[in-house]
Amino acid sequence: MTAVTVLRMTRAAWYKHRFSVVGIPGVFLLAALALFADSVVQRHWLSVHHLSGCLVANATTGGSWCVSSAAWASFSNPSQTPNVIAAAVLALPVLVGLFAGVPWVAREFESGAFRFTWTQGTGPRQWLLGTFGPLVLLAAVSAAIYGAAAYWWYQVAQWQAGTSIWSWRWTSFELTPFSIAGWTVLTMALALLCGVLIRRVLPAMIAFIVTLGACAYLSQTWLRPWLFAIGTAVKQVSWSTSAGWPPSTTTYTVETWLQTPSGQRVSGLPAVNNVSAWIAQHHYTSWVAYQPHNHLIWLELARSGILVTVAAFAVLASVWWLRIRPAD
Amino acid sequence: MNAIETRGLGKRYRRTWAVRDCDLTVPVGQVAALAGPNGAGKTTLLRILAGLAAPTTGTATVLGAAPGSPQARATVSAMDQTVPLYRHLRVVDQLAAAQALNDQWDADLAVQRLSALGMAPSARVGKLSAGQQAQLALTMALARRPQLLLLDEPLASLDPLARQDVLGWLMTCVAEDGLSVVFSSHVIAELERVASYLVVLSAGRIQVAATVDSLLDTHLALTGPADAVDDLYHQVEIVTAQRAGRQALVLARTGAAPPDWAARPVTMEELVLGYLREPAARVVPGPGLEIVR
Repeated sequence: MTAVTVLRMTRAAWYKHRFSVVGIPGVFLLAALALFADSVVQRHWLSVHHLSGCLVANATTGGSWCVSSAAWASFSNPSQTPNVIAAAVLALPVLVGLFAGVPWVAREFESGAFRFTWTQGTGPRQWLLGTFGPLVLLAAVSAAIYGAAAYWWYQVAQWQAGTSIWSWRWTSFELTPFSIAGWTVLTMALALLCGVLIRRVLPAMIAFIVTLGACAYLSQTWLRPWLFAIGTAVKQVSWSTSAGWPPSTTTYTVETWLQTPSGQRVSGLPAVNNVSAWIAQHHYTSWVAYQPHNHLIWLELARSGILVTVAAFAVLASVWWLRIRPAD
Repeated sequence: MNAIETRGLGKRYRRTWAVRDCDLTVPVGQVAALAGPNGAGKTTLLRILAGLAAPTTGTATVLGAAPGSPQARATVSAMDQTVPLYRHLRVVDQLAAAQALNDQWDADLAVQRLSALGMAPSARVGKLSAGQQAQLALTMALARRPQLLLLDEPLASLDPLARQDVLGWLMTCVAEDGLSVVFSSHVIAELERVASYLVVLSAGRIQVAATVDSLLDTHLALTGPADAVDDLYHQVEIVTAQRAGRQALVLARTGAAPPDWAARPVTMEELVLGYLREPAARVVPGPGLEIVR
């Protein structure tokens, strides 16, 4: 695909899919604006009540003076609303894929309109990539802006929910610009694949939901734990005291274990009354493997990179399928 | 260079052959009419030539290039039977999309043609009548300034006046630009007015492929006694014979009338219908226009 073809298809995509071209950034940016505005209001309220210092990443409750503050108590009123909104925030890329990603390609096949483009100066591959490219680029950039707004909003919102801040929580992990942009690219690519494979709007939408659901499930149950176990820091800690343990508010503990003086892992603890004494008696040492806070950004980038890689394979599969089975 | 050249071309959908053993050569500058009954393979053949479908067997070239290749896309325009348009767009946006997709685009031609048809640029394509949509699709196909135009049933949704208008416009383009045209139609009387080359497809196979003049020059409609038809088979090559009481009407490939038979020139409609009634009869391309049974 030459630059001329890309420009040509971008212009054509503007005429043919104006609703998606305007709708995708429109939806993301409107939602970003709403989150940004809500966050500004909450931050202003905290500032007025001199509570901005309570939003500290390494404190469990924002400090004792925050806990005792009546204003803080009214602010951090336990409520599920912020978590519900957080889930809705994460659903937006799915909706964009469902209502803008699937239909453009599936409807072109269903209506036969693809034959118009294929009999102009543009071939099937150029049609597919030339339309998908501008749409996914637009979606990814808008989603990244939306993700930044969501991240900024959740910094306050999670305190409002009455829960302590912890960046390793799944909602915190997902509500970042990298993650939301990565999921958006994946949803658009899966939408493309479902559209090219099935070529009917409604069945393609159903297939998209099922496929994306499987991807989200695998990401939560397998990919994230697998990633978090990579490149851990290992540290010897005290079994009986909290001294030396990595701070629970900023790190993610992957594993703890006991080790014999010869370096072998202890498989289980005996049923004794005083475990600490038993450990000391056998000269066992206690160890922890954890992810330090500065690893978080790299793990987020790695996960987003994996999502984009899967998306790239979905696009390649779409191109391959179109090549072996053009619409005849 | 030939406008179209196919060798052993075949296209199979599951177990059914839509087109089979298709050897066809249409020279440049011809207006070729593609006739045949429903399901004969006309649409499939045109879609293969337009690069919309891949052949199962054999090869095809359009203006010397493989169908669907960048060279072919630059010089070949096609209008599918389904009149593929973006029906949610306004006419002006449909034209803009088409212009964006093409290196070569005659915007003046498109605008003048549509205004001559009284088509409002702001009208939604989906709100246009079927005939107007066909006119729009045809206008866009020609605004690309192609060298070869493939049209699948372009007249089907047009009223008689619009048909005459479209055919007249096509003939103007052929005369002015040296355009080659291949178009399928069930309206054989209309084909006769414009076609210089005739291709008859039956059951997926080429039955007739020759210039119209050569076909009309070598075929006669013979009328005579029905009981003499059997003898006539020994005198001339008979394409088809219809008996009605004591009389028989015979379509024969011959330059002169045999004794006892009244002869008159055939019309293209009689020629096409005669061959369609007798699928075993074929006129293969070549100097002799030999009837093969």
